Parts: sequence; C-alpha cells; structure tokens
Amino acid sequence: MAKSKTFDYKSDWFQYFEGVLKNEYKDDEDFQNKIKANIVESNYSSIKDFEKSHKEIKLIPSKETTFYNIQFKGQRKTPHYLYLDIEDERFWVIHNIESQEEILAKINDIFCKSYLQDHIYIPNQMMEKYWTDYSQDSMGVGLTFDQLFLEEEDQFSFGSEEDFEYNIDFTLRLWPKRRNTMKFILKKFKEIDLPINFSYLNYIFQNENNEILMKENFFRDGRFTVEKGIDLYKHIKFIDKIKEDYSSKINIIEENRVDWEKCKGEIFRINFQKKIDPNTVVSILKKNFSIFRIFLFYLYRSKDYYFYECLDEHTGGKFGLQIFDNKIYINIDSQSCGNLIMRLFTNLQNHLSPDLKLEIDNHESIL
Amino acid sequence: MKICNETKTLNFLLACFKSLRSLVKAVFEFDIRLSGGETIKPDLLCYIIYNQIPFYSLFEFKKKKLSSQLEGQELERVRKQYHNYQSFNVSDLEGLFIPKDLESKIYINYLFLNTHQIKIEEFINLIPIQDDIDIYSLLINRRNLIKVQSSNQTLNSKMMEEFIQLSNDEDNWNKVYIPFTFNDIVDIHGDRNNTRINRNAGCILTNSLMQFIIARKIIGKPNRFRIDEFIDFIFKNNYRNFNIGREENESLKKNMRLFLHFISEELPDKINITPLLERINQSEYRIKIKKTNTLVKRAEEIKIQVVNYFIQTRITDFKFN
Repeated sequence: MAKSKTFDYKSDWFQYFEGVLKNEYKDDEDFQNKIKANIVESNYSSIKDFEKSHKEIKLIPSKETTFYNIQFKGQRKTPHYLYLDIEDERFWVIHNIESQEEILAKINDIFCKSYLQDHIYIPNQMMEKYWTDYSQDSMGVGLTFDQLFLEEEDQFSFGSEEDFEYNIDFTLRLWPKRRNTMKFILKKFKEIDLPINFSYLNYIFQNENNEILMKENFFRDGRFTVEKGIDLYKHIKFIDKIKEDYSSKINIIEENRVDWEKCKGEIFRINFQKKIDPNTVVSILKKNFSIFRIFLFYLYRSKDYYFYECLDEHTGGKFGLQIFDNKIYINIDSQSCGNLIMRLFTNLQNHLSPDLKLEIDNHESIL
Repeated sequence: MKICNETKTLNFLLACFKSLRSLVKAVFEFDIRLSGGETIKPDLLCYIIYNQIPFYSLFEFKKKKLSSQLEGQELERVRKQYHNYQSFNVSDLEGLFIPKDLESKIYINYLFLNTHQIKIEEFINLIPIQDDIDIYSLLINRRNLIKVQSSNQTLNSKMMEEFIQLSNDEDNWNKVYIPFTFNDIVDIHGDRNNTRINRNAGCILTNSLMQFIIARKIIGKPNRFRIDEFIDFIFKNNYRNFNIGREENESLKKNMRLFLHFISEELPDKINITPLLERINQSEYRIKIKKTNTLVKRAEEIKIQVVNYFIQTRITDFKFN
C-alpha cells in the first residue's frame, strides 16, 4: 500500500525516500521514478512571502519549521509532490520522486526562474575540482559546450577560418572503465583545444567492501539524480557539501560587493584567454535573456569598449558592466544578489569559452 | 554620452585607493565650517589608513585652460580658498560623515586636471603656494599622473608616489566604480514652464528613468513614486553615498524635479511619445507604462526617442548660437 505523500517530520520523509531507494515500493507504479534533488538560491525573507507569490502551489507545513510539503497540479490535473528543506535559508533543497517530464519545467518556473528565486550556477573550475576531489570512484562525466551564436548571420570567427574548433557545439557522455582513462581522454581533448566544460558528473560512493552505497549524477545547475544505492544519507551529505561550497563562494562575492557608505568592496573581473569582440559578448547577453536574466542599458562606449548599467531580473538589483575585448568588469552594489556573478560567469563559460576566469580585483581568484 | 573629467579623476583615485586598500571614508564636495567662520568645500576629503597610520588627504581639483588668466576676483577667491585649506583643522569636522580623528594630520593635494605645466606654475606663483603643499598634474587623456611638487617623506606624498606608479597601469584608468557624478548631470535649468537639459544630463537621466521603471516592475512596487525614491535609485551605490555637500544635495533634488517635470509635462508636446509619467503632486509621480511582455523592448524604444530628442536639441541650439 502506498504511503502518505505528505510528512509531518523530515525523518519520516527520509525513511520513506530510503525505502524508495531500496525498492521497497517497487510494485507501486507511482514509485518507479528516480530520487531527485535541486539546490535553489532564494532571496525570500520568509517562506510565507514565497507562498504568497506562488498561488499555483499548496504549501503544506510539517511539524518542523524548516521542512515543507508542496503539492501542485500537473498537466493531467493529478497532484504532484515536492519536499522542501529550508534549513539553509538562502539555499533551499527540493527533493522529489516525480517523473522528470512532469517536474523539471515546474521546478524551473517556481524555484529557478521566478522573482527572488534562481538556479545555482557551478563554474567549470568548481566542477573540475569536484570531479578531482570528491570521489575517488567517480567515473562518468558529461561535457557540453553550446556556443551561443545568435542568428546565422551573426556568427563570427575568433580568428581565421581554420579556428573552426571554436565554432562547434557538442554534448559528450564519457563512461570509461577506469578513472585514469578519463584523465587521459580529457588531457588529449585539452591538447587539441577542445572546450572542456563539465555539464554533469557521475558519482559512485562505495564502502570498504566495494559495495555501492550511492550512485548519482550531479549537474552544474544544482540538480541531482540518484541512479541506485542503499544509503540515502550519502546523497543528503553530498548535497550539503555542494551547497556549503557554493554558499561559501557566494559569501565571498557578497562580502566584496561595493558599498561606498563603508568604502568597501571591489570590482569583479572575468578574464578572457583570447581577445573576443565586445560586440559579440553584448549580442550574446542581449539575445539570450532567458539564460542571463540581465537587462542592459547602454551608457557609453569607446573603441573596443562598452559600459552598461544593468538590472538583474532575479532581484531587480543594479550593477555596472564594462565589456572590453579581453575582460569584463562587474560592479555590483551591496543590495544586489551575488548569484548574478555566478550566473553571468558560468553561462559565459558554457556558451563563450570554458577557459574564462573569475577574479575579485586586488584579490586572488575566487574559484 | 561622455563621462566628465571630474568623474574620471574620481574613478582613477578610487582605483588607486582600492589597490592600496587605504581608504576608510570619503566625503565629496562636502561643506565644512571652519572655527573662524569660513566654509571650505574640497572636491574630495579622504580619511585614510596607509602603512597602518591614519591621516586625512584633501583633494582640490583644478582645471586651467592655456588661454585663461587667473586674476581679479577669481584670483582672490582661489587665494582665500588656499588659506582656508591651510587653516583647516580636524577639530572643524563634525565627525558625522567622516571620522573625527584629532590625532591625525591633514594633507592638502592640488590636482590639476589636463592643465598645461605653464598654467600650473603660474597658479603656484600667483597664490603663492608653499613648498610643503603637494601638487600633481593628472593628464587624463594620456593616462598619466605627474608630481609637480611634494612635501617629500610625508605619508601623503609616499602614498601619492604609489598613485603615480599605479597611473602607469592602464587598468587603473579603466575601472568605473561610479558611472556619473553630479558634475555630469549638473546642466539642467528652468522653471515650471520651460526646462533646458543638456545632452549629457538628458541621456544619463533618461537611461536611469528607464531602469527605475523596469526595476519597479520587477520588484512589484506601485506605479506611484516619490521623487526621493527616484533619486535614491539613481544614486544607489553612487558617489552620493560618500556624502556629498548639502548644496549639491539640494541642487540634485531640484534637478531631478525639473527632469521629471520635463518628462511628464513638456516632452509629450515636443515629440510624439507615449506619456511615461503623470504628475500627481509636487513630490509624487505615477508611471504610465504598463507591465507587459514587451516592456523592455518598449522602454528601449522610448529611451532611443528621448535620447535622440536631447541630441537633436543640442544640435539645434548649436546652430542658432
């Protein structure tokens, strides 16, 4: 018999999901979907404010103040459930076992692309670090590079026509048998200047008897999909680790926002490894609003240089953007959300060049 | 739109201060009443901790054309200003906007912007300025800071030596911390019947108004707004946070009133444009643009129309003059 789909305590939910993981409900067709989670960045001052802004969902409180059940109606008017953990007030975690088809767009609309809510955006350097550090047994990776060239007539070349390798889009799923093989393949890709951009990582956590405790995919936009396993705690701890790491980066960014009342803060700098026409960067930002979520207001320019005052659609925050042919300066004020820096930087890595570097002026690299 | 030399200078100085991590607090064009009854208003007064020692650095920006002569009332005014700066003590500070550190020294820096060496020397001789006052020449177009004279070995002069080195790094000229200052939008004149706005001020403020409108739509704030809210938005994290002089603050408010009056009352008669704002009373306006999917596109079109108006106005004025 199917269990209740709402929970009074987080521990009830945990036990239920662990049961799902161990196939205890395998005979029930509702429970064939994989366990999934999303980390989202929230600027709501309270869950009540969030609820007021989202009439399309029903927020069902648990008996714990940091755990909520969420119900909403799907395309066929059937109820779907999400489980919201707001222990970290800034970075929420949404768990579900709904069908990806039904749920992905909904989570995006409610939690990731709405006012005050956003994805997290993990830059390539962080993904590479996770791939290297967090699991000795990590095997597969997804590499995606989707160069955002506007319309066909807007396409440009970075240099001569021979530089065609910079005009390619690709998605690669790599599943070698041994970790060393993966390192070798990536090294060879780098040697031929193939843009190595991690879109997701596959993790396998094992115990000392080589028993698989958890096998899951982790995506650069903060999504997790469990493939199989027996220890849900590993999954939860892994989410926490990523969340804490990302949160620490956002803290560094927000501590360095410019505040003239206190005469503190610095400009952020995105360095290009090769010269890129500023016009191209501007066009990419303007024509891909749904990705960058930035309104640009041109203020002045000179040769190979643009200055825009900008608004972040996510919070309405204001910031300055200086675009040169070898770098971008970003000047965000103390009211703006630090996630905009990660959004801008990571999306430029995904769609312009994975080699971009993010630095705080007069400081070392953030990543 | 062009950024004015004072704003460029301010941004360069901020880049240098940031690089040395020395700036604690600053006030811009701020009135300070001296114990003798006189008032000074330096372009920039900074409270600095450099090499772990706190002090004040006062910057007076000067611009002299090669053809201009320093004489008569202007010479007297500058002489008086110089003597007032010399008699300025930390005890004259209120301590409300910049720390009042009685143990710290005040150093005076004259910063000549794009001024020929001959005019700087003439200035030094005419005042006359003592040897222990720091004088520098900032060649903005050549991106170069040059020492003219300095009281060697003071903390201030050592810091300025570092600024001179930093001026050789082009990056320090590229960083825009503050996109525009009061000096960029000062030229707005008029009354309730006729407002004259120069091209620069018109372009900057139109840009800011469009941002303000869209930001309110994003945040979900009401269409009705007070002029103060518009000013706060424009100067959010701008140099106004340094604390600008009271006179400048009043002037700023007056200019914003005139600009909003122009946009709501005069502009629709001058160009064929959808009304952007409706005046409710002396201090309140209502945004008339509705939030739709095409809001940003429309705002961009309106901005181009308004900016073109300001550009054309200037050309017309130029022809008639």
